Amino acid sequence: MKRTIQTLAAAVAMISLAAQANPTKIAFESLPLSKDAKTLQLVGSGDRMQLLVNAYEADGRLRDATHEAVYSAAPANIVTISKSGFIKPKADGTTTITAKLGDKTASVKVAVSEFGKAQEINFANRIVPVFTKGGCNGGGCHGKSGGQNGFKLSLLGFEPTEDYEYLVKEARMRRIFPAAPDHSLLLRKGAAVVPHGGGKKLEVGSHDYELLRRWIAQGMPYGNPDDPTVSKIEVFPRERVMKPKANQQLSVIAHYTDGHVEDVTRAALFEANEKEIAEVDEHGLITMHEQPGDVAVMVRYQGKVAVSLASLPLGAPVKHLPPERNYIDNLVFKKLKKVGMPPSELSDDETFIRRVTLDVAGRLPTKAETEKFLANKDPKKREMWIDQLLASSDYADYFANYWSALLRNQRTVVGGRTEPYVRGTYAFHSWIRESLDQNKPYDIFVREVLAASGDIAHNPPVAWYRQVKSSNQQLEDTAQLFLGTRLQCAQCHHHPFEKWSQADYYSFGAFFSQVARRPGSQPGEEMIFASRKVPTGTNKKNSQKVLPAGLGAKPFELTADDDARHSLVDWMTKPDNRFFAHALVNRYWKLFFNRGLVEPEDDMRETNPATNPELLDALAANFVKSGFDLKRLVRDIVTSSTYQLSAIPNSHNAKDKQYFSRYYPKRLSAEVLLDAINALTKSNTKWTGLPAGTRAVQLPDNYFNSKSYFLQVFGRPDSASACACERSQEASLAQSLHLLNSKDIQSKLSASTGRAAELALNDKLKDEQKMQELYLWAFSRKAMSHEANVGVEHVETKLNRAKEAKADEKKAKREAYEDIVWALISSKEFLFNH
Amino acid sequence: MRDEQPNEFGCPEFRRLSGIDRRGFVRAGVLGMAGLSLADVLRAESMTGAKRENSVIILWMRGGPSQHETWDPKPEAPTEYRGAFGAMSTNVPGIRICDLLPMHAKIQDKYSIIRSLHHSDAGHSRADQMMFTGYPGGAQADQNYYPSCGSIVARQLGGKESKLPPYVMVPRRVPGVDPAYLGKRFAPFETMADPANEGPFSIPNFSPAQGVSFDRLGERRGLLDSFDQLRHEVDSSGELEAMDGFQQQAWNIVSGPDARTAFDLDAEPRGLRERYGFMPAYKAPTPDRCGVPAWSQRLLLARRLVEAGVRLVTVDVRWWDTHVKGYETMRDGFLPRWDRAYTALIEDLHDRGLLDSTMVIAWGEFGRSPKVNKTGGRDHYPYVFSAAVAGGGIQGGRLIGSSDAKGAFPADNPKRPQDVLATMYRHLGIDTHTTYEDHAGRPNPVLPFGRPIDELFT
Repeated sequence: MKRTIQTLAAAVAMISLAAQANPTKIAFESLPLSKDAKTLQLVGSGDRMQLLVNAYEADGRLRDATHEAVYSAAPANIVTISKSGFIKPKADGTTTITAKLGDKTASVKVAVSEFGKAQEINFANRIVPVFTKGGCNGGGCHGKSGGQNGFKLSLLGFEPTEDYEYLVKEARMRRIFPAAPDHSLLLRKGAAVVPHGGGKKLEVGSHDYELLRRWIAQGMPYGNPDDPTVSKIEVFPRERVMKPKANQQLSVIAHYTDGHVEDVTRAALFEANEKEIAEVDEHGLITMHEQPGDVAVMVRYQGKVAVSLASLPLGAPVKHLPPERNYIDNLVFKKLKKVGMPPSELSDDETFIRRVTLDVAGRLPTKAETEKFLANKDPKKREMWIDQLLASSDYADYFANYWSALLRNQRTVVGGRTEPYVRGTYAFHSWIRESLDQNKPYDIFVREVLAASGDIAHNPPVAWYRQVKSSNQQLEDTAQLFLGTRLQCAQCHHHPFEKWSQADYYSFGAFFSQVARRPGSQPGEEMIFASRKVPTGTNKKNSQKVLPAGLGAKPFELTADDDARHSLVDWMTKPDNRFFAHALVNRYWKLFFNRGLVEPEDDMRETNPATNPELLDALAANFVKSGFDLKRLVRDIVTSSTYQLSAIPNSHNAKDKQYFSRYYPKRLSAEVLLDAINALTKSNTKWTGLPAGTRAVQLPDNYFNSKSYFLQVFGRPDSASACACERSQEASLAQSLHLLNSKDIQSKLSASTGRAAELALNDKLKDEQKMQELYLWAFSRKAMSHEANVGVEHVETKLNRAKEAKADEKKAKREAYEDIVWALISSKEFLFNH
Repeated sequence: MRDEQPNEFGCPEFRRLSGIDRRGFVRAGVLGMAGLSLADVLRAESMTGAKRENSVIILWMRGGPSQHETWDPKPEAPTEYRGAFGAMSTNVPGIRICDLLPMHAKIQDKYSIIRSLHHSDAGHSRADQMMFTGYPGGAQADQNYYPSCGSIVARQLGGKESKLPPYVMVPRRVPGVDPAYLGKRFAPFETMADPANEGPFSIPNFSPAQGVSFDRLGERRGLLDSFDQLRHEVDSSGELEAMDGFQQQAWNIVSGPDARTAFDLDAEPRGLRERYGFMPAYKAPTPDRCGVPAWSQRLLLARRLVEAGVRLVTVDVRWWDTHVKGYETMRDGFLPRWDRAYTALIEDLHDRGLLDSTMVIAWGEFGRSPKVNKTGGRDHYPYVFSAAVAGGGIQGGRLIGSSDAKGAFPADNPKRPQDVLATMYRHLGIDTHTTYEDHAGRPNPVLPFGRPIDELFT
């Protein structure tokens, strides 16, 4: 049954007089036809196939009519056809299936052979997918390492020989009863005829039930070792532009190693990556919601993956675009035009200076900086300000804080004390900070970490190895942090959503096989070095030796004198490496836009595509071309019009979360927020052992989290993970209570040298001017007159009340300003970067 | 239907630390297979349809209480194992407990004892992780690599009462109670204030900071409403709205009576407070010995909180690490306080009709070595230990499993901490098969293994 795929153009019946409302034609989407006879072949009773019908609209667009079309077959006794275009054989013979929609038709020939003939059922190809589809071998059920209630299956069916063992040979065959297949525990449990903790997974009489039953009746054949296996799967359609609430049926074709293909739509698993945009059911029917956006539907079958992209454009006219300042704008606007989503206006100077200063330097602009910037008439002033920020030490402080957490610069307890660790964490932080300050090329930065050798005192980045101890951790962190690839799954089994196998995992880990350590010059410190041996690893699956190899790359032939870690970085930093630059630019993109082009930012894979792949490629290419220049990348991003768009939506883009048609606000991070509150209230937070005036973004390690309730509740990470997701930006009750009510905040408000006291005592400025000052500090803008009035009135009310009560007027005035500053801190305009 | 096969679960390290490579477990599997009928299974399944109103109190006996000196005395063992105390009968025939727990003996019919718990991690903080999460600890012992049961409850069930957090820690976090990859939103709400301390009890941030009256807070809120110009529509992620929701909740807590009442320990009648006990802290006589904070009133606060609608309260009842002169510390420090406070809690819950809906689990991270050491104490010992469980529909007066003659290994019906967690989760209506993705995107089930201890309910 050799079949190849071609579009069934020949089978389309064209009808010329198309009515406006009607499609101009309909046609079957790519079908696995036999080459010679242009027929669909169904072989054996168990074969089945999903038809797809495309309707061509008058405007040239395609839509799915699979579930709308009416099907008929002549002669009628060869196949059954469901309303959803799903066909099953009924008898041997040839028939013609016709799909009809309005007055348009399309037809295709179908040949059924070997119906009723007992074909031997191959366990791995036919039976295992039933367990996968039913979720039986999932990690929460029988697929977990211990199995479930005494019955174990290999996770997601990756080890069919083991499954066969568990099912057929274990438990003295009580699961399987060939003499009376329906009495097999496998079927009785699966169909919940007897109580089954996992519920009913099979309908008695369903295709899967019958398949299992026939297999048992055949005496549970395993199949031959040289039987074909699935080499790849394809999904149709691959891409489709859709309308709100529209459906799209998918069909999935499996290609086998002997070249034959089969429809496996009903046996495959489907998952949408953006469930707010679309959902997909177990039969592969996509239903779009109403929110415009792109969605990738991942299809899995027998360890192979494919992806179908559906998008729901908004289709609004995009007439006015902001000036295109660089390639970023070019590609973002191109996408916006394609999906018909007009972007928001460019932000005003006030919004811009606050936003960019927070994003690049991790602090609020000072009042003086804001005033100067607003007064500047130079058309290049935004670029000038950006360059000033990038050159400032604040940039290095802020980004060092980010990298320090990801590089796990964590202070750890040694023998009940943390002191032995301090020298290392401080040195590593300071090394990171200096590297960023000097704008060390990113490839060199990464090399100096990954290939670090020596003592912490002389080469601080060896601190990474102190924290990331085993070669498994080292390879996993390297993959996730620097390559945007999560390999963890492949330690124990084939990665479920990726092509990575255990062989890939351990080959990658072999780069770290020479890493050795000796006690360092002080307690709690270590010497890291590459020991003199040929770098190899062991694939835990089959105990075979593996050589170091990059992901999807040829193995390195290295000698004992090579340090394999350098070979790793050589591979990573080659200009054509598909991971390294992409991972970094996506990571940085997220820092500024609060959403990666791929999300999560360190889970980049074929089945989780970027919302704007061209942009991701362009960012990566430019980054490589610039010599891995981090400041240049930041500059490209923040000088773009895209970054400078307002957060305020227009009538079209309020729900946009993917196309960057406006700025997506984000809560200030714990450190930045604490510094911002200190700046506004004119107070300090004191850190034990650090110089007075040290800001929270400058803290060298995680130790200070335990000393600051504020940093804890606002989610400063503990440098425990290579994932940026360890940082929590979520709101919580404890945060709100802390802002509303805490002694910590109140003492900042009421400090005798604080902003409120200073303003209250100032006789030179009017209350209205003082409000303007506060607004400049807090929001980098002038207060509007009604806003200023609210504050002025509050001061006057309190003052009058104190006069009437003959109370302390100075105190009343000060308290009034404390209240105002409190309200500014608590406002979302302050708490968010927007 | 037989027990899961935890001996096949996870990596060797995991199995070693979970104590599931031990011989006892092979037996557990066999027993489990023989012991449960279809009726049991069906009943167990009907139990998973738990009402959502249930609560849990975990009395966290941090440090590892000695099984010999609490719920599993070995009066027949040689002196070096038996220790200095005797055993006493209880109001349940056949159950004997340490003779320094006389009040326990009178309410034995209201709680049950599990004597066959075990795992293999003898380090405090790492074992803590196991008890709170069901997963072994990682490289950083104090750090949660998996979410605590309280965080799971907060995540899966949310708040029962909008004015109260679902998961409370009295008074402050300890290793094991954190949310790990579930995110800080599901961290325990720490009372910070400790009922053990002198003076009026008040939760920080629940009442206006000093010098700020309610009226003034009201004025501030008015100002905020005028100033807060950032429109919700700029944010489609829901964070802005979430923040408003929490601001409102915080405001309700401060301005309304409900939350403050829930936490207002001083509202309890004096008599009842005395029933829980006001024994002062027991100061460690020498630096190598552990002391006992005055935690009795913390248990009363836990009762108030579940009564008001908190789903899971963890009470720090530390610090049972009796390496040196253990008898003295137990006799003068832990046992009199514990005997009084624990029995007060159980009776109090019972009297208020809350015992059925509130499961109380009292345990530490491990037990103590069967043989008394040279300094008159016992050392860390995870291979067998006991827990006391009450409420939540379980029968009192049951003994689950047993240890051997020396109190060294499970002798019968061995249980793992995960089984206790599974029992607790079922009580709360938590689906333990639900998976949550960790920072690597790997889905982890609520529990890696473990099944509810049905013997507690029959």
